Amino acid sequence: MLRVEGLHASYDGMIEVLHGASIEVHEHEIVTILGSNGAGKTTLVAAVCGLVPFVRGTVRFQSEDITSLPPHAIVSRGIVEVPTGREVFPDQTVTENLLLGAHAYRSDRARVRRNVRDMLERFPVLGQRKSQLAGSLSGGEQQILSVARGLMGRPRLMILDEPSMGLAPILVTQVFELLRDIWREGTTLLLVEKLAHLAITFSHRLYVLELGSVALEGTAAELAGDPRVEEAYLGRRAWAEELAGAEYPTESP
Amino acid sequence: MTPDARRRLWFAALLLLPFVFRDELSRFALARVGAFAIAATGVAVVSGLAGQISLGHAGLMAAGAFTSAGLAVHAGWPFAAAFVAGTALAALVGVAFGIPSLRVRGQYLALATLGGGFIIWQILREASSLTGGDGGFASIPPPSLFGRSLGPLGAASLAMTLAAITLFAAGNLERSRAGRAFRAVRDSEAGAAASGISVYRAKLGGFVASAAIAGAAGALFAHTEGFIAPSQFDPSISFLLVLAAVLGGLSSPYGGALGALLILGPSELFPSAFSWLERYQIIAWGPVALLVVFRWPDGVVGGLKRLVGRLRAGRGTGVTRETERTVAPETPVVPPVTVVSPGVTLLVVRGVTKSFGGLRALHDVSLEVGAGTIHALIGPNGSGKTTLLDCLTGARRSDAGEVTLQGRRIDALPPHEIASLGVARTFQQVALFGTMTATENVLAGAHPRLRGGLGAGALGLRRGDDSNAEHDARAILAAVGLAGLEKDKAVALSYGQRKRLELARALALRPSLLLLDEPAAGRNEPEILELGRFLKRLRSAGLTILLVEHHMNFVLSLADVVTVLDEGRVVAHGDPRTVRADPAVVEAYLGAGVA
Repeated sequence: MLRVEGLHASYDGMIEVLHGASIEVHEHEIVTILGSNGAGKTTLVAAVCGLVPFVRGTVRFQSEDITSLPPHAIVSRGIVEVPTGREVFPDQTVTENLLLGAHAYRSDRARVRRNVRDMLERFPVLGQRKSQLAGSLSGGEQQILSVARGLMGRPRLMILDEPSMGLAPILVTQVFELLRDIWREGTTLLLVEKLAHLAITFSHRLYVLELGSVALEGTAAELAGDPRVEEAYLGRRAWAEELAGAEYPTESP
Repeated sequence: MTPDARRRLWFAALLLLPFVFRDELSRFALARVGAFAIAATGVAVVSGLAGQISLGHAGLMAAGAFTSAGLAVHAGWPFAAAFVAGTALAALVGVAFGIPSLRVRGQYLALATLGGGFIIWQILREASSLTGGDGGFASIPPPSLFGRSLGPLGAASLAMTLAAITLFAAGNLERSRAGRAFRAVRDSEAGAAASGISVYRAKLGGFVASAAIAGAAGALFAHTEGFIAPSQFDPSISFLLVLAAVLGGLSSPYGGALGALLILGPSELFPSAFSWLERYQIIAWGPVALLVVFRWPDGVVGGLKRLVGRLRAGRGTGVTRETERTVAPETPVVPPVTVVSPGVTLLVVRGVTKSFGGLRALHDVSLEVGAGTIHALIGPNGSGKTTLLDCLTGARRSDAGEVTLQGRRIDALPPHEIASLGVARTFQQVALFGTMTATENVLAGAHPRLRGGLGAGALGLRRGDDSNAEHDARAILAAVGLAGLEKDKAVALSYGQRKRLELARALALRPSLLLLDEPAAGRNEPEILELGRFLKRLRSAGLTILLVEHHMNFVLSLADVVTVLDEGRVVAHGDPRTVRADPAVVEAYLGAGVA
């Protein structure tokens, strides 16, 4: 469905962030990109969406070359990205923000209304504040709104950059339950996630990005058993030791 | 050749210009261009460096010009004294110009300063007994030094000398403590206040410095021209000055002068070739500035810098790979902190309440933080955690309740004063100074510990202090794992790197209390572990930490005490183990775990 080949990317034409990264996402798959700070994960998904100015290599979506398309044309092909950093429209209400997410099928009023109602019910935090301006929400609430607005689009491929960031544990659970429902309804998912244990239980396949290129790839089962992944990304044993030191019960991932 | 030596060479070249143009008219024209270059540097200081738009600088120039001319004509003051008085009065008017900037920003500030320029222009036209009205002043004595009047060569030399001094001072200011405060306020007022920088003083300081420069330019102009009228300072001249600063590049203190030279130079210095330009001055340069800004958003100076950078890179390796630019783990070195004797209750919060409109964000919140402990604040999204941090740091004023730090009430203090007392913080959505380098961000964080105001900055004093502070800043950057990224601009860093940089900036304050808002966000598991160990080392060094975080393993392994907020109220409080098992906390916050 999505095939990224040999992607080089740079924001200023001087410093290169990606050095030939290649990934593939098949129809009806959940794929996650792991990686440490500054490895280029956000740049990779931003480049897919046409948001990085200097790009070499190819990005194909359903065999069409979309490498040099402008962002709105990429959205109209059925790719929606929920960026990290809570980019909501602060001067519009929660409901209006959600409506903007339904732009692609705005003529189908009944469907728009149904999906808005669905989001407000699924996330009581938003339901209780539906007429409030988005700018008055707390950071975490804005994050939820940004995810919910992306999900309103019901795209073919949905890209989420760290959907769990800044969310209380109970909301992380809710967001991932919702993502699974969306996936069941036919949306393919590509995620960037720092919480590796969550990503591994949730995804079919994963890529590990290091220093701007793909260092490891495999199915969830393969990577879960890989000692390199355990040490560099999961840190389960380290946490157990750390918590044992503090004499508190381990949080099961 | 060092950049400093290169700069001095450029300034020296300015002094030679009067000898390049040999006829009298050109020398007078050069003095005129010099005056406008100085005035445009004033715009560069307030709009570029301090980020406060001004569309009224012709009014400030006029204040200097008419004061100096009036004192010389009516009271017979010698040039030097009249010049100084004109500069001083313009600086005073600059205070009035700066006051709106404390309340409004962006286009509203532009309108307010535009109005200020209009008012001055009208006063000059109406107060004809003092200013000569529309007719203005004639036969203003030419500039004189030591009792000798200066001819065309002397006037042009004086203008170029003053221009060189202004540029030298503006360049010094940019890199000084005061200039960093200006730029910090421009990039993030919240971040600046949290670093102990008074937003109020920085904005007014920017306007005053800028107004003094514009006033000096006006006084110089009056005496070299010998004749002034209000029409020479009408609002279109304000636009010309802004145009010059934008064309030259707002990101550089030299942009204004370069822009003025580009705009006025051809028609003034080569009138036979470019006389047609003068008539279309604004019309012709508007589209050019638009084009330049479209192509080079940071103006001609920025464009040239990039061109030079690319030429150098072309000779070298070409595109840089980013391999060495990722972060390292935190080092075992702990930056110095302010130690409060353990056992003391450092921070006491009593009954803090805060509402936004009808929404109650905090309801009667009380808690105590003991010195040398790590205290975690957890709770569902929207439960008021960040609002509480805002009330503790003065970023928001609570409606009711008391906050005391070591027995001292701080809830009515402005944020920069609370920071100066040793309370540092980070933000959930980082509030860094985007256009400043990592090192400069950390240096700005040390603001209350360093010395040196506007004057010292302009004169380039206290460089020694700064180089010591820079050494400390590099050590702190290394401690948080950002070694090698010292010269990168904050805006070019990844989210995780920015979070680290903000932590470094907070530590630069040498705080006694550190408030962290979601410090683990943007980090993967091993990096979160590293952060936890780093914070424990800080605790061992005596630092007190209050943090908001959602990562439960992190909180459980780290915190001495946990307070749980829900809908603005404290619903649980105690050691992590008890709080973790509290059914209400499980229900509202933790949930059953991720499926």
